[in-house]
Amino acid sequence: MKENLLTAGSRQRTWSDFAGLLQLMWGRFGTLIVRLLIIAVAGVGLTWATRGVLDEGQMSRIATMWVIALTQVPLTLVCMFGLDWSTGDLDGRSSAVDPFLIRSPISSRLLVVVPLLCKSTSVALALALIFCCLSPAARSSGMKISVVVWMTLTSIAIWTSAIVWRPYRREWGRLASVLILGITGYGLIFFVLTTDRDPTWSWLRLAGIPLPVLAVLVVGLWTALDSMRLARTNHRGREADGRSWLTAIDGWGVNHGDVPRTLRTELRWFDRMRVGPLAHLLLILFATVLSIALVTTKQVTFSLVAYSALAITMAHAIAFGGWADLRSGTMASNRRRTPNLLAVSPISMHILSYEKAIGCVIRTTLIAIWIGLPIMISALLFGHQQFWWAWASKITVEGSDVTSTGLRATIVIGLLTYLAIVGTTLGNLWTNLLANDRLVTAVTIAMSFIMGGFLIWGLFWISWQSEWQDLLDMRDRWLMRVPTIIGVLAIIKLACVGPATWLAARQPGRASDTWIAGTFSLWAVVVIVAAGLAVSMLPAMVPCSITSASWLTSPPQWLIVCSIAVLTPLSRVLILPWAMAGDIHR
Amino acid sequence: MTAVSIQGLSQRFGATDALRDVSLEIPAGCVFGLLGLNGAGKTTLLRHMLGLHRPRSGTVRVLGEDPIRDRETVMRNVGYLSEEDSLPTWMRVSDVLRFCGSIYPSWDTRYARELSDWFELSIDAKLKTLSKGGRARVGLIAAIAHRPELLILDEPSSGLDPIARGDILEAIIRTVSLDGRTVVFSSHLLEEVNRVCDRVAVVHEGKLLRQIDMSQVGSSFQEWVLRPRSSEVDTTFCPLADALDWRGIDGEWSTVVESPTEDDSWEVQWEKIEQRDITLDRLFVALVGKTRIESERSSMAPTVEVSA
Repeated sequence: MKENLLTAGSRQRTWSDFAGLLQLMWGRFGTLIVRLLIIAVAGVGLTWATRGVLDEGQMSRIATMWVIALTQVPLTLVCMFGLDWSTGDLDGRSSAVDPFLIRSPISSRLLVVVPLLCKSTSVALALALIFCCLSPAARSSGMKISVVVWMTLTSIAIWTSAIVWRPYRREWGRLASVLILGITGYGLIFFVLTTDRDPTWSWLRLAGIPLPVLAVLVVGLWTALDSMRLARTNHRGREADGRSWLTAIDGWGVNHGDVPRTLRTELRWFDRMRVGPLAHLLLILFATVLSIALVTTKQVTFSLVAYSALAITMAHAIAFGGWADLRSGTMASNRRRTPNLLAVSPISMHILSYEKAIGCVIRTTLIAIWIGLPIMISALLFGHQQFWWAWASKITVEGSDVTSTGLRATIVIGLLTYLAIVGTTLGNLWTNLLANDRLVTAVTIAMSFIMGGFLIWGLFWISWQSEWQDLLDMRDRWLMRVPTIIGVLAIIKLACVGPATWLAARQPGRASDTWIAGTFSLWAVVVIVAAGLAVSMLPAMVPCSITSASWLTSPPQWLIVCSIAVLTPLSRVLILPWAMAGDIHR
Repeated sequence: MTAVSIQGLSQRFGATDALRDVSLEIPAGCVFGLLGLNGAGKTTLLRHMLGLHRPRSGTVRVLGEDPIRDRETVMRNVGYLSEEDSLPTWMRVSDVLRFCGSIYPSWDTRYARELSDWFELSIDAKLKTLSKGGRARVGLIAAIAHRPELLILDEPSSGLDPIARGDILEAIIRTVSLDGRTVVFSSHLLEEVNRVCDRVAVVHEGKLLRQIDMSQVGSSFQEWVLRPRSSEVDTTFCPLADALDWRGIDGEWSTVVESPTEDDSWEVQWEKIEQRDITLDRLFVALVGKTRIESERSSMAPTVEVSA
């Protein structure tokens, strides 16, 4: 009788805990989910409203994809990675689970079940909405939202929780796990999207579930539970088991004795060591593995999937450029990103920001070279020569040397890509330094909506055109306008320089005319050298079957100089000391 | 000469007034204590001295300069130790010393080594392997080894063991007595403030309530213990007009008075049974308690904080 009463009481408590945790989850994320849900439903409404107007053409499908990217993906990402007990602090060895819950008398199993249940059901809802966005033809032509896709995304979501919740023995443990999850996740998605799902077991065949996906899901669940159990007793991290070769790598370069060196040497050392050599090594390994996997797989090298994966890798490289600012060993208080040690130091803003910019350029360059070199080499090896040769032949004037022209064009494209990547990273550094979360979110959302909105409008506009020739005429008209557009962009850039210089000169602290003049000179040198290299390398004549636009077949020098000047940031470099001051003097 | 001069400083974070029209002068060469409850505005005030916040209104001058406009000049002569572990824990002790040596032109390597020996710090130890007290000691070396004109300490001994607290107090005393520098520090530990401070300022709800010269506390303030002459006496309010607070324990009523009133009409109903030497704890409670009572009186029906 007493046992029955105890069991009933414990069952009742479990249910009340379950309800309490659901309430807590709703309290934390309810408003956000409802807002994202409204956007997602609006996206569904937009695709349905235009369905009668648009044909089932390629452009229509691309437009729908962009609508999905802008309206559905945020909801899906929040459902996968957001619904959690984590406090958002992913630095160091500690578990990210809210300490309040860790100390609560709620069972670990329940703490795991509730968020994972929320994740899996909300991912199903998000996928259902994406399914509603797709047209009937798209659904039937292979763009299926199946149980397997749901299971794959749920698996990734569960593994993310497991990694975030887990306490680690070393600071870089979580980063290493994220990188492994990244590679496995990409692999799993490619596997699900590219294989014809032939499950071995008969009961799985009925549901069309491939065994590897099921295995990843089940192991993920077990790992999540294990992470939560470990977090309960080792919330601030597990004890490292003595010195190992990994610890030795992580400590490499730290100790230089106590004899002071030059200020700039110390600042670079500090910036580098905040991230740690092992973290750099792991990221380079990640980029290397992905690049090699992509370039050595003949089937996907020149497919859309390969380019998407390369774009993601490049995005990682760009993000990593400013990474050292995002990951600080000790975050200063009051949401200041600059460590206290530097915030109260007598170092000028322009020295602090200049060293940040140098570090950012070096990191991005190293990663870009690390990813770019294997791709360039692979273009000439692994049986890909014919693709490169065909392209080189296409851009060579009759009678000219194909190899020389191809190599020159490749170098110019590489140079422009590098400038674009470094320019983007360096150009975005000011938002990192300013460390104003609201500003960063506002800029990101505004840019996404402006660019995405413009793109969606363009694609829908194209879909509405009935005559193919009209489209070709329009394309030619826009291609003819490219020099004008670049010219306008250069003028806008020039117009921004004035206010940026004013901000640089007015930033708190002694205005450094030398620094401002130095920045202008450095920018001019970079533009002149890069433009000189591009002009000397680019073939004088490039046959082009697409358009008769003279600038494309015989690019004028001013256009090359203007393009490079537009790609190389100036105003956003000039405001770096101002942004740094914005973070320090809050 | 004035080390810190603050005039009409106000600061606001969202809907909260962190500082309200604070004016303060800290003379050079003194040890100045900031007292206040949690969230009173002490840390915000210290951060303004370091130029870590822009004033919403008012001016801040540190060693005669604006800590935001003339940051480099000011920071060369200021040392800072905060209550949090603000040093990166991946660094070794030697890294911190070397790094600070590069930052501060006046860094005294010999003095830094001498201090680390005195604190028995292992130069090769990583900060994350040190105790909280050990990290505080390293932070203290980073704050004083460039021999700053002004040393700012934000609750330096919060959560530390008595020996670490003693080391920090010793360093403050050495800084002032040997070098004649200025020290500004906030603390909850009134005993510690009492021991080392020349002057204190009490901050409450963003306002500077009072600046007190510690050498004159005994002569300026007194604690009186009163007893009602009959049970019909109204004990809700203190009979003394200028009393700082009013609290009753076991039928006896205690109050802190700044300048004893000449009006002795209260003695008809009350009997003064004792006059005690004031302690800093009692004075602090009286000053902060008075403000609380005043704000309660102005916002609602007349009530009084009575712990009977």
